[in-house]
Amino acid sequence: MSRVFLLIGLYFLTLFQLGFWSHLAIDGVWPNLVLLAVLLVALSSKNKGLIWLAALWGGFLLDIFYYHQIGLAILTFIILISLLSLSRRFLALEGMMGTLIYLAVFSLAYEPVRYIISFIFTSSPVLSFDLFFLVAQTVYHLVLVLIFWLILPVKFRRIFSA
Amino acid sequence: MKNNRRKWIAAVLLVMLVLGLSRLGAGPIEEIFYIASQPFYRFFDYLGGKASGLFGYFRDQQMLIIERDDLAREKEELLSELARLSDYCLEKDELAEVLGTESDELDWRVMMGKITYVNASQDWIMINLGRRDGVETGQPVITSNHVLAGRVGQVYERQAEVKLLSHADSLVKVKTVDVSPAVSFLQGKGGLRTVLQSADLTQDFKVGDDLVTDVFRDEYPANLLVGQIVQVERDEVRSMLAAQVMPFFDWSTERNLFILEDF
Repeated sequence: MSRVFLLIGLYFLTLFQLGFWSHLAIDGVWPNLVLLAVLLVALSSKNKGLIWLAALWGGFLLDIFYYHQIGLAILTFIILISLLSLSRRFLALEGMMGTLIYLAVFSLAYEPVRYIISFIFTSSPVLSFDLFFLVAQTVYHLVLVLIFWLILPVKFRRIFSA
Repeated sequence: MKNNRRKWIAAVLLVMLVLGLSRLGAGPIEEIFYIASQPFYRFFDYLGGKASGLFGYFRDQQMLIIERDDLAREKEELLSELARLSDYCLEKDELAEVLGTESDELDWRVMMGKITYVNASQDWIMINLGRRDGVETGQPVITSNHVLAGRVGQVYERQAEVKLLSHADSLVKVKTVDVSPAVSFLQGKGGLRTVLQSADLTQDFKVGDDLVTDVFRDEYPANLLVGQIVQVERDEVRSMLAAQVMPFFDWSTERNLFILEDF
């Protein structure tokens, strides 16, 4: 049941990001809600199947609606989730602060990893990610998560933390 | 062990599938997703547009306030510049008037100064030109309309005293504006009074006559406006003619004066 919710939720989240949030770009910076949702699922869930499903489905949706190239975001998410699992084995940061730190690190890592992956798909990828954009988007993500936590009832807040 | 092997096989197959799909391109799959998602996308797009308009309204308000403040500041700067320029313009016009009325007056060398102080009880005014500007005692002082104001008295470093025509030390040779003018001397009597005196009763001075300067020891250039006769008295016994003259120069309406350096 939770998998169906996840599939539908991520689908609508992608459309929400594409349709609604594209209007609310601040200085050309928009949040990657799908990345945020996948990372939150990866940080909060212990069901590995659910985490990988979120990564594959979220990546697929981003590929379809954003990059028009199937595989780019899927592989990026696979690598990010693998790195996240690996990092949590060696350094387990817990609680809300831990979640925020993981979110910040992997939000920053998303674009560079995607550019590296793009080597596989294109012969001449453009390796020019904007540092300002990365930092601003990460801040945007953290603010959204904090707002999300504030909106949530207290007993549900722990669900979405590491 | 078997589980691990399965996972690895699944992972490799997955990566191959992804790479295979990427080679095929996202065209048909993308198309299906787009068509299916169109209504939801439009709905979110509509909401986004509305939200953006709302935020845009506040953003625009903020921008308008900032712009208004900027404009107010700019207006103040422009007004102050305008005031300064209008002063320059006025001075330029007056200067042009002084220099350009008559062709022979183009050779005049003048210095323009501003009235800084008026001592009406002692018949002198102060202007903001002094020794450092080359002002010398005795130089005539006129207005832009060629009205004689007086003559430079005491000169200080940065300012100079101008003795008005009504000053007790003032003596100007004047004549009426006529084909055969009556000529005499205008004497300052203090208390803003000027009197024209003549020992020749036959001279045709009458009330309403305008007086201009006449050349006398190169003290003044000729034909500077001096004043108008307001009262004439003829003393037959002492054979003296005395006429009260109202000077044309009015310090209350003038701001700039011109010192004639060379004429």
